Amino acid sequence: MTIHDTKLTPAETCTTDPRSPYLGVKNLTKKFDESTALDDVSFDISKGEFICFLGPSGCGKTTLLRCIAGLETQTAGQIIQSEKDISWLPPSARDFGIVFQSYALFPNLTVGDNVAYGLVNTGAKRREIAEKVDGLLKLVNLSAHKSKYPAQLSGGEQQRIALVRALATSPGLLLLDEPLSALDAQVREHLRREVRALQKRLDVTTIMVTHDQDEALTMADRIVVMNAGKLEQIGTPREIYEEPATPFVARFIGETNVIPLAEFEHGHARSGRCWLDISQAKSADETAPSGTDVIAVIRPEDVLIAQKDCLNTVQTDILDVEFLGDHLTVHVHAPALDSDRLSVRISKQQALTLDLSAGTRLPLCLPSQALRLLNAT
Amino acid sequence: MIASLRAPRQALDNDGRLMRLFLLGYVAFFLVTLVLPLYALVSTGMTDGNGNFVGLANFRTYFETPSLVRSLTNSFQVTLISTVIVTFLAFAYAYALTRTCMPFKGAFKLIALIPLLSPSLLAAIALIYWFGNQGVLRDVMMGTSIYGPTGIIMASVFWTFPHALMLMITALSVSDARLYEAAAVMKTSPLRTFLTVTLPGARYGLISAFIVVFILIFTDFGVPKVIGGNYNVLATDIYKEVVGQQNFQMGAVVSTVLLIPAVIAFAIDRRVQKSQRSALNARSVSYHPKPNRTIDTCALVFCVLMSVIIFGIVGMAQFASLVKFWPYNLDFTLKHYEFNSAGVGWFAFFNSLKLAFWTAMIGTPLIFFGAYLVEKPPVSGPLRPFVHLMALIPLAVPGLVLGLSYIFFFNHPLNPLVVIYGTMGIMVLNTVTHFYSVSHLTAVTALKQIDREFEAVSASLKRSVLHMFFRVTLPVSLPAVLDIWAYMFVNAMTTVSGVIFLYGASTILASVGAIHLDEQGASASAAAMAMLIFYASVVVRLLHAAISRVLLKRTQAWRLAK
Repeated sequence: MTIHDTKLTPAETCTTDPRSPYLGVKNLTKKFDESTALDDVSFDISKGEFICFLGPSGCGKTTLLRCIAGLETQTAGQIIQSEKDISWLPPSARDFGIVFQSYALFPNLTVGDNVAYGLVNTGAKRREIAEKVDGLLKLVNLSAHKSKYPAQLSGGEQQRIALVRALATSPGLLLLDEPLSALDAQVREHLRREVRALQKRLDVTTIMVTHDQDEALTMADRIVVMNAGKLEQIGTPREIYEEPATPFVARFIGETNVIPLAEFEHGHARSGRCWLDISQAKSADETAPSGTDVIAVIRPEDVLIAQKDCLNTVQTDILDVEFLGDHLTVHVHAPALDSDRLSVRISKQQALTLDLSAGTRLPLCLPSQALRLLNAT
Repeated sequence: MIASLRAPRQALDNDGRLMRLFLLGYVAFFLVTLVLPLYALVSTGMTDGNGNFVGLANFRTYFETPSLVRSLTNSFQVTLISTVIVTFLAFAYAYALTRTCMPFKGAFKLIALIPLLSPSLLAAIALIYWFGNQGVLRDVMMGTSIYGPTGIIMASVFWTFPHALMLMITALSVSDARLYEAAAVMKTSPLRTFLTVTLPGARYGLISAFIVVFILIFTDFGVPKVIGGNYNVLATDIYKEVVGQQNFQMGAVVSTVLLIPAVIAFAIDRRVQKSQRSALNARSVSYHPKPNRTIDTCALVFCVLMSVIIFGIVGMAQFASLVKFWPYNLDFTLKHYEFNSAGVGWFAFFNSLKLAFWTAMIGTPLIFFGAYLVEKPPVSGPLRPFVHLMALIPLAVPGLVLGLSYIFFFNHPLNPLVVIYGTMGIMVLNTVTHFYSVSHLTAVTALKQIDREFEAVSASLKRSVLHMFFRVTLPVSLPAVLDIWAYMFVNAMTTVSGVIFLYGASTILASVGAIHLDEQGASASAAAMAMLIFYASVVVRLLHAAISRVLLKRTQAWRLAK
């Protein structure tokens, strides 16, 4: 089945310069009475991209989405959509479809009427509308529920209805405000795939707000990581995970060990009583590390059990072990380092060869190439 | 230059412009029905008989007149005593309804709401038949008179009881069972549990009920007029100054004196309401009482006693209106229902029906749509909070004060609206305004339960706000709309204080007629008129229940869908 079967037109035929971004956010700032919800946020989104706004609660990600929809107005800054300045347009004059965490389905209208809600005033004929509604419901496998009321459907079904209702008018931009957060874990994972597949198929530029990093990592083309109203980093899931630009990103996405560094000499850096080889470490900025505000971060899975040829060997004592099914996380105490706690990820097989009881000595290796240097401030 | 320095605002779409226009309409409405009349009232209090400004001279005169000051202390005295009694009784009754396993709870709740259906003066008339000079139980008064503070307090307690009860029931039904379990696990005694869990949980409801009842009694006119005797209170003073002595300036001064405590009480109540939020959260577990023979029996006895009193009051009014000549000839007659006394007839009753009908028909859509504008569509700026504040202010304005202020404002020769003076129109306007606040709050509560993102979804789908309103918001809120309609109707039927200054010879109302009949000594006819109002209210309430049922069945299938 192709898109044409369902009478859905792709979001918008591309007449503009393909290199110009579909959506541009420029220096967006939003101040509430005393707090700053958005602080000089800028980024571009290309057509057809799936973007996630990721951050802890209160970081401004929902405010940013609502500014793009026109549901909040920014204090300063610009929003450009399809080369048109929409910064001060009311929501009704913008081109978007939106899905909320609460589904926001109209309870007194049937599923079919909900989906048809935005189609009725497009000038389409009754029969065309009915066909389009059928097509859309088929798209999410809910044709059988057309004449039911929302309350008769499960949460996941309701959210799929909300999704096709938002897509019915073929908006150029789809906004999803934590759409999966209210659902059970299993339904959530299933819907992740379904939403992503639908988005790819319709090629609709999509922004999804989420606080769930797994959701962002699995679904997004690119992730916008936010903290305290500021944009911390924008990049592909891989970039965000492997090359965090700030300590916040390193700590927020996945688990990480943070090692404060003090002195730098000939490709080495001192932490506590240890000199670590950082000659192959990657750095977030190009300048050579110096000063006292530099930290090294390393993922638990990149920390190794020390072998003979390891340059950065650190003596540690085991504190405790967490069993996590497919692997174990060992928490150790490293008295020689400035950070006294490290986490190490060990596979089940490897664990069989080791004595992991608390208090046991465990020499660890922090490979130079796995270290990433970041400015702490 | 200056304009360019201002931060830009989001452009308004057609909907935004329309909503702003509607909001401006509401501002105009409140200016005409509330702000300007009250201004006219206060400023009249500061002029002499010839319209010259005299500042606070009238107030000085007021406070230098011992008889007037005595009314002020009288008002506070009877109001405080009655309020304490009502709060106590209502708390006990609500506790029995919500926290015990007493049988017949539904019936007891209905019985307790009966006083809402009659004008406040009905209780006063009935009490005179029970305890008056020729009353059945006059001996229990042991020589003291029912006319005066005793009667005012008893009648006030009767008619404000359901008001306090409803607030108490709300306060006591929202309680977290987990707190009681925690207390039980820690082996807390029942008394200590009551003092440390139950009372604190209900304290906002208690305070709120206390304040609401205080305002109701402090500003009530019907009860002290009928049973007050020579014991003067502020409300009767206003009536005497205006109707008796035609001293409008002093009437305005007394009104202002009456208005101030009411406004202060209102402000305190709003504060309390604000801090009440977040007492419960989604995780709270609702409390289910366990059977306890002693407590359940006590509750039952208490509720039966209260019910007997309520039936006794209403029943006496009914009985007295059906006997030939109390207390000498108790033969059955309908002659008191003929109303052939001067100026009051059956037409007064029909006028009341007309007033109630139009108040409900005009008030309900006006108030509901106003609440929608305040609650839902995205219009920034001060208009929405302003309209919301205006909508709440009538709660603090006593009916008598509002009515008097209408005289000053609408009867002013320069006012083009003078044409509605003395007509049914001005009474409808006054009654809608008088009962605006509670209905507004009902509507706002109902609207708050609707997903706040509907308007955003609708805008993204390019449908107008009005389409959204009629297609979704209104149908979903239908039960609240029907409640508002019935509330407006019944209150318009029973009100006295708001309209006592506003009726004309041909537009006299049943409630006002009852006052006049009582003044003329025809108390059996007054009781008959009060009973007519009572039965009309009962019929409307029953109709409301029936219509709600049918309408809800037909249009709210989605509610039952689950």
